[in-house]
Amino acid sequence: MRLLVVEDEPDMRSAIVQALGEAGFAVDEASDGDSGCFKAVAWEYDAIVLDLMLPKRSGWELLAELRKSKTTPVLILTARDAVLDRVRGLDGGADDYLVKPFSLVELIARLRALIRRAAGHAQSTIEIGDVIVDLVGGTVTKAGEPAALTAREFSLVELLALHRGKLVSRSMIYDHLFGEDDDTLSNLIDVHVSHVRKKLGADFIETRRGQGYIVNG
Amino acid sequence: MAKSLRWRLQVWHASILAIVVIGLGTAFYLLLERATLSEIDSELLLDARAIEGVLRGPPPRGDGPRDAFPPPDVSLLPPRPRVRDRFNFDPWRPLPPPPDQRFDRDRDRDRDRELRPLPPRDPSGEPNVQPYLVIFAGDGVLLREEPIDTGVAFREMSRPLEYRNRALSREVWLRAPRGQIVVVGRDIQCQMDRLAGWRWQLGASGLAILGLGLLGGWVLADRAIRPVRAISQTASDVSAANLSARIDSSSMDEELKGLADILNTMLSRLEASFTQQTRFTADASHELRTPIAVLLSHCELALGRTRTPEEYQRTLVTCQHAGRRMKTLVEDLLILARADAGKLELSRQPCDLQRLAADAAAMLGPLAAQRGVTIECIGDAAPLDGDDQRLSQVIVNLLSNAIEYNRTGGAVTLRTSLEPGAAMLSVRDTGCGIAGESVPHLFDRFYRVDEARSRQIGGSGLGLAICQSIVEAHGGTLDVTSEVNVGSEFVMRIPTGLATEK
Repeated sequence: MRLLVVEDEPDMRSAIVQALGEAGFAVDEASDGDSGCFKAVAWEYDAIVLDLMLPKRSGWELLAELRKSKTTPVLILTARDAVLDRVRGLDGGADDYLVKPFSLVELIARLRALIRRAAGHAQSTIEIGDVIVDLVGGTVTKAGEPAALTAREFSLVELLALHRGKLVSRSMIYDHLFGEDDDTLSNLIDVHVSHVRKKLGADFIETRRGQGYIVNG
Repeated sequence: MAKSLRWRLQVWHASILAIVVIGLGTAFYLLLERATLSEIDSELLLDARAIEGVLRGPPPRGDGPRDAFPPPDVSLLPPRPRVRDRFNFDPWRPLPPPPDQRFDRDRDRDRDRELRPLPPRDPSGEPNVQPYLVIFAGDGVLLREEPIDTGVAFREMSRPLEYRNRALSREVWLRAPRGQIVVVGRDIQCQMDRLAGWRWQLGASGLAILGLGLLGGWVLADRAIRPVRAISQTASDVSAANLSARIDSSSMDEELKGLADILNTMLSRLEASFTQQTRFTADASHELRTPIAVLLSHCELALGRTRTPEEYQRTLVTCQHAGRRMKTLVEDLLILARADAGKLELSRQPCDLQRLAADAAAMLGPLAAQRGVTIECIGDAAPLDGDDQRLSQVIVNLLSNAIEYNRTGGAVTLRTSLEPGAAMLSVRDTGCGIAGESVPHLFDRFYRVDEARSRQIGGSGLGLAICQSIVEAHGGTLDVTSEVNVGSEFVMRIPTGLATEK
């Protein structure tokens, strides 16, 4: 899952980016409203963490600009706790609102929930055959046995599971799995797919040659 | 109810109206009565004078009866023949023998007190307008009575002419040349009846006017109170949460419009003050939450799993940074809070702005060198009584701003001088300048011209506000002039004579 963090305070940003990275997200960052807006519109993010008090362009302006073209889930993360600010943020098209200081665990849980809801899943687990993907715990079990997936592999399974029954292109996988700072080659996707097949069964991921991958069932 | 302005207005109005109506009615009635009586009086007097004229004949001849009615002198006859017509009085008629009604003081004293009855009234009720005439000799002997039985008793007169009311008749008493007393009177029931009628009419119309006036007053009071009610209604709608309500003064009268405008101005000021306060609180909370959030996030992150010593060290450095930021912010806020409460303690002692400027320049020399900015100190000594630490804080703040927002290779000029009554310090830079629209907000708390750049530099946005508070605590002024891309100049003036004034 690929996220964008727009936050002008460097220390704050580094903590969020590191925490999200460790939670298995691919994370892009932006330090002001303009670059944040540019990235948010240019890329398909699964969710955006947005500060409100930003240089150059405020979070509200960014949100208004983004909503003209995209429905990407947005979580506002700000030190402004006035009710009016919350209302303004949520009415402006934000999907969630978290006030600083916050718990990183809560931020991650809220982001997961946002992504799940955006994909149309209200529950936190997805069952595909005998494979159960626990989106909250970040674990996968096959026939009751926990499968030992790496963070990247889990992200791949999560992405495919959230789009089950739908074709997921290689570029989409690439966009969602790797942040802008990843220099990973695109053929690494094949490596991750083969690893997942080894752990969850060869027929778990179906290949549509030249198009992408799909999870059925 | 008794406290109600409307009631008080009404009571006052009613009282004044009642006094006016009663006064006017009474005055009118009295004037009317006087006019009526004076008309009658002048008529009676005319008759009396005519009689007097007749009596002013030659004195009685020889030893004729005393006070006998003298034969008239034809030449002295009144020009008007009315007397004869009106009184059946014929001067040519021979004088009747004097009746034996000599005035006896002993006998008549009591009778004089209670006047003898008037002639009987006409039983038909028709007022008797025919005047009656009585003539007494000087010593009270009844000389003549027309018509007979008027019942007028002799009495001493204090003045040559007297009027008096007797029941329903009016009399005029006149002293004739030879001591005789002429009494002419007439029934005035008709006039009195008419006056009584007027009394009733005046009373009734007075009541009607009073009633109408009260009704009108009630309506007027209502109308006068209505805008006040509107004002109080609006005022009661205004609360701390909603200060945007304003009193609509467009349709109000001048006086109330003034009041409404004053209230509106007050509300505007209140709203501005509240907005400012709210924004300040929001800003302060934002500024405090951010380092706390940084601190907590990094701790949470570091504690989330086992980290390398380097990672722990980095986390601690970040936390220290955040902690320092909070410390600075809290200290700044405390200074401002003290200044707001007027409790900014100044330990005044003789100091010199020139020396403080030189100290600040020396202290910030390394920073200036790092930014490639030169600092120049010029001017004369500017001694004053002030808190040198606080003033130094101001100078350092202004100077570091001038360095931070300068261009590379730029210059900062610190100039000091002693002006009449004030020590002056100016800090001029050759930086980017400040846009005109930002200048009025420069001393606002948490105001930053360039958010991103200030963050980078690490300012809390309170520096200039604190400078201003310190300067104002010294009774001085801090002004700024700026031109974009040319530079800014901050000028501080502090009165030198404050210490001697104490």
